[in-house]
Amino acid sequence: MALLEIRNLSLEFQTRGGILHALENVSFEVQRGETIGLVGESGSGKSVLSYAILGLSDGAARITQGSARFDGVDLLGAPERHLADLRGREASMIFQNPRAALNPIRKIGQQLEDVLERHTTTLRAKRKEKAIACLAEMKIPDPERRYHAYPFELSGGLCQRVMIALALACSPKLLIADEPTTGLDVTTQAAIMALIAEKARSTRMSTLLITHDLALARAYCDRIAVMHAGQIVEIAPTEKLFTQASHPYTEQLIGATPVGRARLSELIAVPGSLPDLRRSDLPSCRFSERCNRRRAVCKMALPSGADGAHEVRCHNPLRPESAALDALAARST
Amino acid sequence: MNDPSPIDPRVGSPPLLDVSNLVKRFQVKTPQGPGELLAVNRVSFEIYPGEAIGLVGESGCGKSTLVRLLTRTLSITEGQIRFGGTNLSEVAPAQMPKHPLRAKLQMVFQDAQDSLNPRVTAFDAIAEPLRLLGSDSRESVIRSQVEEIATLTGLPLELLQRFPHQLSGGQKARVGIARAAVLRPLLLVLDEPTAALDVSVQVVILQLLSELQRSLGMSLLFVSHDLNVVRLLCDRILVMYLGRIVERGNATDVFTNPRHPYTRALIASIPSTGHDASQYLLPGEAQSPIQMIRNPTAERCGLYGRCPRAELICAKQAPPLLPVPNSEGHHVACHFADSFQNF
Repeated sequence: MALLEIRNLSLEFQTRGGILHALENVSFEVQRGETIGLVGESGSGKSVLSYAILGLSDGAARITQGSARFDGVDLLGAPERHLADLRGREASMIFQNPRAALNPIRKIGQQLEDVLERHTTTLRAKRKEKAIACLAEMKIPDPERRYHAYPFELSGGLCQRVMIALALACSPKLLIADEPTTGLDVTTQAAIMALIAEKARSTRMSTLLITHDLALARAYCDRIAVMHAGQIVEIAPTEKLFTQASHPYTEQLIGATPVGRARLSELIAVPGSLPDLRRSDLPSCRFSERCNRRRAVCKMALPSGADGAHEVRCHNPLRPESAALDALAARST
Repeated sequence: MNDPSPIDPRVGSPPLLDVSNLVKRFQVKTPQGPGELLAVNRVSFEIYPGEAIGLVGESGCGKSTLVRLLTRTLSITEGQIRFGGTNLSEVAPAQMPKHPLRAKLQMVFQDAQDSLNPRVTAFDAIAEPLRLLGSDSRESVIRSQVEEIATLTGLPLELLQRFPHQLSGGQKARVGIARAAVLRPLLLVLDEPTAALDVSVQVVILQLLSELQRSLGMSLLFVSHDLNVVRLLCDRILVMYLGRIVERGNATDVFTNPRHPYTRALIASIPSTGHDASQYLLPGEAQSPIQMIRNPTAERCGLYGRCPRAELICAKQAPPLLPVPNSEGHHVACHFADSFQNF
């Protein structure tokens, strides 16, 4: 049984400008020990989805259909008390901006002890020792001294390590990492991702990595789900996604990624922009208005085409024999 | 890396920007007594007309201080900046805004969202430099110049009356570039212009910059921590670490044959390039740039303590920036550059 199972989840926000259809019929699973990437442009609903999973959605959000099960628990029906026990212990999250997510007026050691106090049976006398061990596990140099530091005294990279130490303090079964390395240097990014990957390996933790950087997802994920305007358009094992992308949006995202390209002219921008999700006449395929493979059939409800582990929601997907895809495969090898 | 720039720097035209031995120190107080933050440490480089130069390094390495020195928004401690034959280091920061050369040296800031005034329309944001420094203040002339640069930067004219919050991230980035380019500068300094953008928008902006560079004949100084993006746009690359230039050379050499251990770590860290990052990663954090007056460490190699080599000489003497044998202008500052081959 999958650790996390999202089925046909739709979510909308009540806004002054009307109802914003943020998620539409989202389905995916996270297996135990698996790292799955959720990629897409900003505004595609990646973060909304992860907040919804943890029951942290904004007050204006309303789930209109679907289910979310985590380790046998119905997340959408569970009382808040139950969810609060689960968050931080069974499923935890690394937020995008570590400086904003840490409490600025509490020492980082105390913040770690707060988590241990809330979620574990660690005795008060042992908590400091455990907190320092958590910092050391994240390869924070001089953890005894850093235990007494405030967030402002640490660099961005160190703050992110503290955030990860907080998230992993209780060895969760699921880690949701929301753009964990955005704003960090590439060298720091590599170190942070190595820490997460190491923890995932050693404790069989599942990881949901949210990012707009396909190259990052490719380096660390077993599978990748591509999201566009609140819809998951393609899910595939990582290498398959890069060599046999079937959804036109996936292909365009890959074409815009600089890694491995020798020249700027080889990059191809994704045309158009996300549709306004407050529109009442959103097409069933929200990508169709940007798509160069659009056909009359695209007005019909989206198909849920699946070829084993490779799922595509497109009426006119690219086929392996198409020239564009061959070129893509040639480029990535 | 790119197609050859309009004027080949090696043809022998004088450099547009010539920076020599630039130093910036800040006086700071520390719990241990007075100290000195050495943000920029004897930096020298030049930019030729029409050339795109990348300046890369991690946060805190002094990139932004260097940029602020070049645009003369900070006073210089030591050294010289010559721009188009004029000694800019003699211009006081307070005089710079009205200086005639200011129009020729323009800047695009990191976050288009934060650097645009939320109460000023795109049109006025682009027109402001013209009103301050332009040669013709007639409104009709300004209008035509704004519309011309908007077209060049791919900004639909109907968006010009909008306020920043009514524009997308990519459109705001275009406004930031348009207002810097509207005075037709000789040098455009870009401080992480794509850091806040999605990959898909980033491509558009990079291609736009490359096109502007060619069509307007500008030089670019592209500051970023992302070597992978820089190499696509730039002819030459400068790698900065702890206030010093540690490696420089043409983009292909630096990217495929880095000789400084820091540059190697920087490149190996780019995901999905096939390098095993763990093999090149440097442990720990950068040293503090703050020098204690009583116990200065400025004379040792900045990477000392993180470097896999770290021998006695590295602790005693900062390595000079020396040419790599049999290369075209590839320089590296490492006592053991010879041992860092076979990347």
